[in-house]
Amino acid sequence: MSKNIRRLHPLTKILWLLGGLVLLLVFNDPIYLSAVFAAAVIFAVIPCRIGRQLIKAVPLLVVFFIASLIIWPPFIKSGVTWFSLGPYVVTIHGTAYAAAMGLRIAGTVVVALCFASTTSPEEFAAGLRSMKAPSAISFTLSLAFRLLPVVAETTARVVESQKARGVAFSGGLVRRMKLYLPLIVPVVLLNLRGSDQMAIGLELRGFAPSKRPVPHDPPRSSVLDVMAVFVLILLIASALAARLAGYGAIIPDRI
Amino acid sequence: MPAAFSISNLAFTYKGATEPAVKSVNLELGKGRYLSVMGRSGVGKTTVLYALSAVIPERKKGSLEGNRLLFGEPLDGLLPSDIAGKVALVFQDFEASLFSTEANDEVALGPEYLGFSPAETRARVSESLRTCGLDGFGERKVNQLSGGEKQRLAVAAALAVDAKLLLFDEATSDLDPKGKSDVASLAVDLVKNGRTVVSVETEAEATLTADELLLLTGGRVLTKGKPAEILTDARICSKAGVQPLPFLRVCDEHAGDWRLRRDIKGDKNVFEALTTEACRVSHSPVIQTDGLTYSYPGGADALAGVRLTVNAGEIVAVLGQNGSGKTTLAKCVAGIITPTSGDLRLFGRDTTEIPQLELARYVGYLFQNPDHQIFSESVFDEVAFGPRNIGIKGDELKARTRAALETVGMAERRTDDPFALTKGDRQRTALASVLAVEPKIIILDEPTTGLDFEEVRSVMELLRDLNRKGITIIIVTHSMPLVAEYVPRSVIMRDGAIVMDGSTRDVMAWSAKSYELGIEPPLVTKITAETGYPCLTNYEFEETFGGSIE
Repeated sequence: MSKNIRRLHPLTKILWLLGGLVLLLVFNDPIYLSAVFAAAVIFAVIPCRIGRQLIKAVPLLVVFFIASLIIWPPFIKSGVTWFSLGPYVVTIHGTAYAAAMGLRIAGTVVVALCFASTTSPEEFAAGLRSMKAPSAISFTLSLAFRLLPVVAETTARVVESQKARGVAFSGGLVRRMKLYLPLIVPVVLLNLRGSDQMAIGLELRGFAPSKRPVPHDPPRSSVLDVMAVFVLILLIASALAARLAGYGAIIPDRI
Repeated sequence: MPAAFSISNLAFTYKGATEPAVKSVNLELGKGRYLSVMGRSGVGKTTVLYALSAVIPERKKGSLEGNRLLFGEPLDGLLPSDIAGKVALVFQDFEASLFSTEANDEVALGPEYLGFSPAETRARVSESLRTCGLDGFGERKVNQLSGGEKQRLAVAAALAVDAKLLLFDEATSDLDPKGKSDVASLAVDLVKNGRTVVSVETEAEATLTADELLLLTGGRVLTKGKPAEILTDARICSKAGVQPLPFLRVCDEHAGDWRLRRDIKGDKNVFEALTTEACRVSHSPVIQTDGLTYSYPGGADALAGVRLTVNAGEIVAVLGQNGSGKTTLAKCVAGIITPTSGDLRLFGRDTTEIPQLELARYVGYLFQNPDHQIFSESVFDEVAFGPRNIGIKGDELKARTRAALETVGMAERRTDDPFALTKGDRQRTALASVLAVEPKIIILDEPTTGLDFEEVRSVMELLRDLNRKGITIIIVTHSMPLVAEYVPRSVIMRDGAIVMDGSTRDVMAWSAKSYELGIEPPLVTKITAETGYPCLTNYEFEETFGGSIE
């Protein structure tokens, strides 16, 4: 199943990424969004087989969810008030909407993880090109993905070099931020130095922003892609129809 | 023979610089020739490569004078993109040359943008990978390749666009001896196949496979000729700041293999007198490891039960191929990473019981790239960071910082911005920041990468002085001439374990006869090992064999 997902045309995967985000945006009722979130998690664990990555992301998802529960309630005035602390008023609707927003953000992370783990930067670029995006933009975006591990490695080395000088990267959030902030200088500088050489290297290999490459192994679409897009359209249409019929919205005038 | 390129009266001054990087350079190279370029840091070696690849004056701004012809066509007014497919430039930093996640895609990138048909691109990808010894690597992830493999991939990518002129800018300085030798052999093969190669090198021995050697000094051509002839001229080598190889005068070459002439005989007594090393090392262990293992997240075992004892006052080299576990071992000892299992003691104390801050007082660690640790606005502040971090304040902080700067010869530059220094001076600043903490052990990971011969000697002399003051020194390196000259004990690692631990002479002599350890000894050791008097340096060679040389 995982192989089949990986074999999908990059454009299909990009459409599924966007479709996933649309599904998360259609509803603002936490019960409906729970169903969408649960579907995203099941999709990540079974066909995409990224259960391990998902477990690693759980603390981040929890942080997003809790932050959402704290930030959103004062913006929703409707519903019965639970409690208030000066201008910080929390209503039942506010809490439900905050939970929905938390699920939406967490769901976005899950959908993005599914996409990133099944699509290489080159496939991503190919997908964007098939959407007629400018070649320079698709290449730059794919290069940014490719360079993420390089930047992470540079950062790890800079942190190690400070550890060697007796800096213990532990303690509270404020202390850690204080320790990490000065490291931005060497990390940025090291990556900038490399980027200069990269630009020269790319140019000498024929790259130009206006050029469109001739792919040596162009992605091919199959029946599976047609089925996947059909299922996606069906899901989005059903969700939109449900919302238009008045389902899935705890606050109807908000997204 | 038609020229691949010719440069006449080339002068270039980078924008903002007060001095020209190159002045009046005249140079011509025939098609299918292999040229090595050497000289001190900052003499214009890279600028010559930039001139040949149209990087200057448009991509690196500045004022350019003189004429450049590439395969008979003028280069003036052209951009690198205009000569894409004809010239390839391979940098020391592999990451800056690689843009894809999979090897196949990386090699295909150039042909794809140059508009080759899919079938032709696929054929070029597979041929380039095969030429570079990467057959079967097509579907491998680039970030999972070793340093040597990445470097070969960068060359394969250059070949795939059918570049006729290949420019290597210190492209092998991060590679292990086998990687270096592989790339050198590859360059020879490329030349045999009609390509022209220009390679900037830092080690003299690496130039011996080239057809010609160009020495630059002060932005001008000092000389150009056969490498073996130039490198036996001590006066010229001294002018260019490169290591001479005087023993080549009494060697014969057969297909790249150098052998000492049969009539040259060594003096046993002189050799024994030279090599009887006075034992001044104490027997108080400062580092003890037993059964040390380390596994990276994801499961790869970097250390597999390392047992090692280092005594106070020793200088020890940790050698081995890329990925053998050298840096992991060094980082474990410095407390930068925590071993997965096993025993690690510093001065008899279990390191798990020593806090990070206290550990920094025992062990100083100098990273290969000084830029990983520099972040202050002045050299003084950078050096003061370490001692301040461990609680040193006031006059003592100032005194320690000044002393460290004086030791490395940077006291006069204490107010300079460290980012504006040369690589050699940045390396010295980083070393001073380690010294200011006054550690008892200093670990250096490839301390001489990117430095020229004189800078390397200067750093090593400095370390020898520190060692004489009682500091234990561990050097992780691929530079065999450096180890041979300065380090009495060598530890060889392979697959995360120590496979040999002994005197450097024994290790080098053994490696001269067998490649079992994966170590490529200096040429002087290789040619003398057969005689039974394995010399490690030019000095030892001249003393031992000088009697039979007229």
